[in-house]
Amino acid sequence: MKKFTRSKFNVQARSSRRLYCLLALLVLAPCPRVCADAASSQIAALRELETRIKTVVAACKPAFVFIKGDQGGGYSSGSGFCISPDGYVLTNDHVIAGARSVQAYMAGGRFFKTTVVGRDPGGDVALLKLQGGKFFPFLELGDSQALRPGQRVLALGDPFLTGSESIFDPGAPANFEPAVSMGIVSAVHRYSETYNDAIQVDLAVNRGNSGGPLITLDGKAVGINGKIETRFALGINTGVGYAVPSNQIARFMKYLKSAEGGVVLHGKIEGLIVGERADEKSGLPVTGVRQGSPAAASGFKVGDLLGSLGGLPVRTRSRYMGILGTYPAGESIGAEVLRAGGKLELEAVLVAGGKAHLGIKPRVVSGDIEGVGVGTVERSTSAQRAGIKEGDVITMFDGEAVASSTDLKRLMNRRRPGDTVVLRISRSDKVLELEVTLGGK
Amino acid sequence: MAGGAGLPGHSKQRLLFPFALSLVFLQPHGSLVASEAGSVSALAASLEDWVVAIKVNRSKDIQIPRSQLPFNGRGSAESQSYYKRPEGYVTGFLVDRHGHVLTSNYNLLGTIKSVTVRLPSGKERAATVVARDPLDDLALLRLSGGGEVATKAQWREPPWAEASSAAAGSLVFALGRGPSPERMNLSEGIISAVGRNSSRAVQIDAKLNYGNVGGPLVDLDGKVVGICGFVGHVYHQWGLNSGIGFATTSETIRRILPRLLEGKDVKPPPRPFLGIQSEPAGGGNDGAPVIEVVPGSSAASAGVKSKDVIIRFNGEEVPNFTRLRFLIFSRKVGDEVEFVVRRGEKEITLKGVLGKFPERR
Repeated sequence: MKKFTRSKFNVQARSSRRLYCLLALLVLAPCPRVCADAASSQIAALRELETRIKTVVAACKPAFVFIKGDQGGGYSSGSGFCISPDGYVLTNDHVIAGARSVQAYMAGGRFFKTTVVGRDPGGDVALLKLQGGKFFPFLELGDSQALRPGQRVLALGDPFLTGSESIFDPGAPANFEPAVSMGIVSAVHRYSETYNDAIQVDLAVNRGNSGGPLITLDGKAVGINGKIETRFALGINTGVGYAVPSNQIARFMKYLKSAEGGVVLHGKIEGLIVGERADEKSGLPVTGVRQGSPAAASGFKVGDLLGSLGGLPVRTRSRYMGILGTYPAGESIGAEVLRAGGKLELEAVLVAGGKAHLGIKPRVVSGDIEGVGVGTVERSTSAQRAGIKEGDVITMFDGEAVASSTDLKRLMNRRRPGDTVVLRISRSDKVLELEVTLGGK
Repeated sequence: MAGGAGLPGHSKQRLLFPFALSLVFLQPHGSLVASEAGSVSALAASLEDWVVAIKVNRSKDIQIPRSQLPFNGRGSAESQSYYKRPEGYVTGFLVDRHGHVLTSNYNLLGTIKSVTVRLPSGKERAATVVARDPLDDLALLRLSGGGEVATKAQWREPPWAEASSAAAGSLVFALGRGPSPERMNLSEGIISAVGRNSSRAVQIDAKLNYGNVGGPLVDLDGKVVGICGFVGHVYHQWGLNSGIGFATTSETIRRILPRLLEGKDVKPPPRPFLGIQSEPAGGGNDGAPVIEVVPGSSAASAGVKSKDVIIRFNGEEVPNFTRLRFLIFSRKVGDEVEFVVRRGEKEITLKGVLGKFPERR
């Protein structure tokens, strides 16, 4: 289901003013003939648009996937779309997070079980694979960097589950027809919490649209619709929707494909501190470089002005965070730096940001054993993948004794997402050693 | 899309409704810049004669049980009021010259003291509710006093769209008269999906609001695709302006209007029944396996046997039972159906007549 955020009002005064100027020019054009022609061609132009939309919808609909995540006693529902003939499916991570299993109905009602291939909770993306079929209809990913505000786009989705459940007559079967909505790109490169580089759209995006494709009029998927601004906790479209851009997804694809059901991590330039805004300066000021950090090793110095990152101009800290948010840990990124009147090209290797995450809820153990008891094991976490079970007692962490959950926390704080640690575990009468590759959070 | 259907210089010619109105559009008219032939405003204006405003004087609105409200009625006041009817004018659609007006049933819920219809000419007439169809969110009104709105010669039938001319992606406009009935308003969108409400309605992304619920949904040919509604339904807690709207199709209206005109409410039709037990979709997508055949059902008389697998139904592929149920529910009780079963190596075509579902909802 959709994530909700508190109401925000992004008034795009500048762009709308520009639009009004343009409209004023059109209206004031002192040429009645032009006006008449424009009017008589309005329906003709709309007919052309309609034909185009119908063609794109007919071509894209078969690749649409209705997603049902079995949450144990209930379902999380959302949208998704197939991106390869062998059945890879993209959706939002929040649609399938915590699910025991994920089921898929393709448009038209064919049913498939799926495997969760990889999850990107930081970018709200998940990659699934349909089981037991071949030659799936699929959507090609387009170039989200080429999107421009004002460009007409479509969204396919299952808002309020009108396509996958019969809302008119509960108990009656659904027709598994996705809903298409039309609108324009409102803005690009929006930074909105976990949506680092979001495409803002004005088309109707509602609960259940999550995970569905944002589609250009040439039929390419340029994003995943996953988040909206809303008021009164209603979760209903306000004309402000956000999509995860396809170029970010493409960059994470090989990591998602090799995640074996686990989590992929976003990168950051460890040790680099930047100012809030460039203001009148020609780049974003570097205000701190931690000694001995990867940032220092890359050659950043306090007083540098960061002109661009990954080839994109940086004027604010939120844009800096936004660009980095589209890169996986382990990749490197080019930075253009202005220093003492000259230009420098630096290369920074991105390390996993965030805290290392094991995925257990500890509980106090009674008896002779000293250690941390495992209360519950969270689904799809490093603990679960490593085979840690409820009732286990963790006694050692990389050779150090663990006597309390405080000890465990202290040791975890010294590790990064992606690090591998060895845990000694006492289970019933046995002692096991498990290797755990830590996830991130 | 800005409203542009109300035209300057109109009101003085309104007396000759509706014929005189159409004359305005046929004559070249210098001042009507916004209404040149081929423009959206001209398209909207061509429907103006049939789009009426309705004022409902009610003593009490309906109350939805708290348990059925979003967040069990504990949300903000705004989030709990989605189902409430507006004060002021709402929209309806004239369907014949005898003063019958179709509108959304939503507009006419609550305890009603009186209903007034404001004709496009500006004339206000009392009206009464003739019949209702809650399943399609429609209600039929009739102007009181028996007076006709046009002579036989003057009257033009509303331009209902042909059956199934609408497809996902068709551009549409929702027309309304609220809250100020002198001018029509229109909102633009597309058909989001067809086949909703057991193929009785289409889903649209044109914004529906108090002002246009009950009004016509019009395509680029100026044909009426359906009547907009369903915004305050208990199951549709998202309400107005969400971009999730529905319109009951012209095809459905053509089917139910005769009954409404007779003053009979439309009850939900009995559910069709083939008479097999199967299992939910499991991933094979190679048909609906028959576990058991209900004795005396249409499946039994058609010769279906347990362990058969139904692979086609009325020419459509059946990947699983879920799909088969939808295909059955899209037909009516009494419909003749043809389906293909796989029995061992053989594929056998069988015919039957759909029966009634044993339990009523």
